[in-house]
Amino acid sequence: MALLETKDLTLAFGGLAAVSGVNLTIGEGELVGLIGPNGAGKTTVFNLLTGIYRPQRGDILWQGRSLVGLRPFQITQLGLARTFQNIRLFGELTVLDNIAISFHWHSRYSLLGAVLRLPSYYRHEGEMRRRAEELLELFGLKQYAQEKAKNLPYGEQRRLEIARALAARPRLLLLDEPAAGMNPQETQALMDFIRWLRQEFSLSILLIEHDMSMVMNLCERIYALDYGQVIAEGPPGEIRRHPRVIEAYLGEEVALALAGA
Amino acid sequence: MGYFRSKNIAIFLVIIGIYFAVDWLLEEGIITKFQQVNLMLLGINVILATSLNLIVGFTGQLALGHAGFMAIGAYVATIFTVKLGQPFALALAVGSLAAALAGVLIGLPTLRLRGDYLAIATLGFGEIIRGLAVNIEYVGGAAGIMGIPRLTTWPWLYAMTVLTVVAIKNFINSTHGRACLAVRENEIAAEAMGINTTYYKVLAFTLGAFFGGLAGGLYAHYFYLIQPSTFSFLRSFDILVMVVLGGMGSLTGSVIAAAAITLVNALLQDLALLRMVIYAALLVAVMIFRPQGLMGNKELTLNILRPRGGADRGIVGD
Ligand SMILES: Nc1ncnc2c1ncn2[C@@H]1O[C@H](COP(=O)(O)OP(=O)(O)O)[C@@H](O)[C@H]1O
Ligand SMILES: [Mg+2]
Repeated sequence: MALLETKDLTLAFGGLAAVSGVNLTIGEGELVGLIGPNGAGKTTVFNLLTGIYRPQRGDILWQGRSLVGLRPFQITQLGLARTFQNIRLFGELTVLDNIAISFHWHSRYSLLGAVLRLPSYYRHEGEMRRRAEELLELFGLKQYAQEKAKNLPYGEQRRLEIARALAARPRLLLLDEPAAGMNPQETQALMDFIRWLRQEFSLSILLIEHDMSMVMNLCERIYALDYGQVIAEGPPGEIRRHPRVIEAYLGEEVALALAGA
Repeated sequence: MGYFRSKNIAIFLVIIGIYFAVDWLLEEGIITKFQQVNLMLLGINVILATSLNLIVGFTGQLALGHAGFMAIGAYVATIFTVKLGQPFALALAVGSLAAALAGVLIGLPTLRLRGDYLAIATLGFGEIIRGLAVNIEYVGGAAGIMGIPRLTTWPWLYAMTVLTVVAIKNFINSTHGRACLAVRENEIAAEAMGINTTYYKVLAFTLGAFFGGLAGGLYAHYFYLIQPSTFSFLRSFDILVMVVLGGMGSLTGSVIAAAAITLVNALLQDLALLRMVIYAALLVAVMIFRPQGLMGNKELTLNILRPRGGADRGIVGD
């Protein structure tokens, strides 16, 4: 059984079909790419998968079970975690607290334990702190642990977002344009990092990326989206040569060139 | 680890020390009658400000109905002592629980509201409670209830104030409190990280209301008399001013601001109308020179000023 499967996923904003009839399948341990020009509906697919929007038609199956109608936090607790295209950290909180918040739903002490500072509080807080520090160490963010998240440099903020998503201990990680705003060297480093992450945490990953070359190098299988529809699906070699993909991206380049002219 | 760290022992000793020092000053009559009234108000204001800060400052829900919770606590506790002849401790507990229940009820429907809309809805809630009190003969209507026994003594007041501040502090510095902070910082991200934001918003309202009710019960049993007008929106507003002045999301800020405002009010008592002008001018001055409040979101701790959000050393801005 596929880990995640969408069937005929559809959502329109007013008259605009942001996502229409999308069928995706992600297997255990797969690294799948979701590409498409700006406005193709990639982020909307993520928002549907994570319960921020409810599909108007179609279904989302997580190991055969429908996710439609669940609240975002419930979906996260089932094993999907995500990052956001426009970073959404808890800016005023420390880097360590940002991670600790994702551990929250794994924590095992009650409200009373917290207020009365029962032994369970000290035990579990200590444990959460230790694990958060481990994760920061892995991500090379340890020196920022007591820094406010909003004060981190941009690249570190992106990394912290991934670390925070992982702290929720997902089986499927959804990354929305993690390389946005990075230069080619940073993008290369990020690619190596994502490969390593998948290994280390035995994850499945669904990666949105606007930049074709990154996805081509990283993913085993790619879905190309345009105007909310899947226009192509397959291994990178096929996608690269697929006439409709070339057309979609070419269309975008022409539009950009015209806008620039 | 645990209770017996030297820091906790030091805090404990200071808390006990303050208790006995004030107790002695009261015994010796060094604290005047007028000062006593203000001492009681100070404690009540500390409870009100810290509990509202939990809702507004820490969970980010702009609520303007705290006087409503206070009224419920005051009236229910008074009914229990005056009408039903129950002991004070039970009356305080039931009053606080009744306010907490109202917190759940008001928390649920207002969950879909944000910012200004939530402020208006909670303001309305406070006025409804006041209106109810005016129209219920059993609690004296507009005249209120008179002749309430003075059961709020210094030990009661001090114990309840310390209990409130410690409980709220412990809550905030736990995984449950961090969940509230996450709601404030970014609700969508909080949900996406597995936090039931509905639950934590209602919880913040419930806890805040509980302690607001406690303050009401203490208030009623010190001032002999409660009337609906005691709990008008002006009082909600006063409490919000303390929270904003001390710093949204700073517990020590709320304590300091509650003390400062009580003190300023006491000092300006004789100036009548001029008092409101000076009070307003002070507020405007603070908001101009410290728009984030006296403490921002930092806490005053034993190791002087430790930012609760982490060091603000500012490597590279955002
Ligand atoms: N909340 C929304 N309300 C209205 N339109 C939206 C909303 N979110 C996205 N859209 C529109 O849906 C389309 C797809 O957007 P999006 O999924 O963000 O694209 P992508 O991530 O592929 O760039 C765009 O035309 C966008 O303007
Ligand atoms: Mg997008």
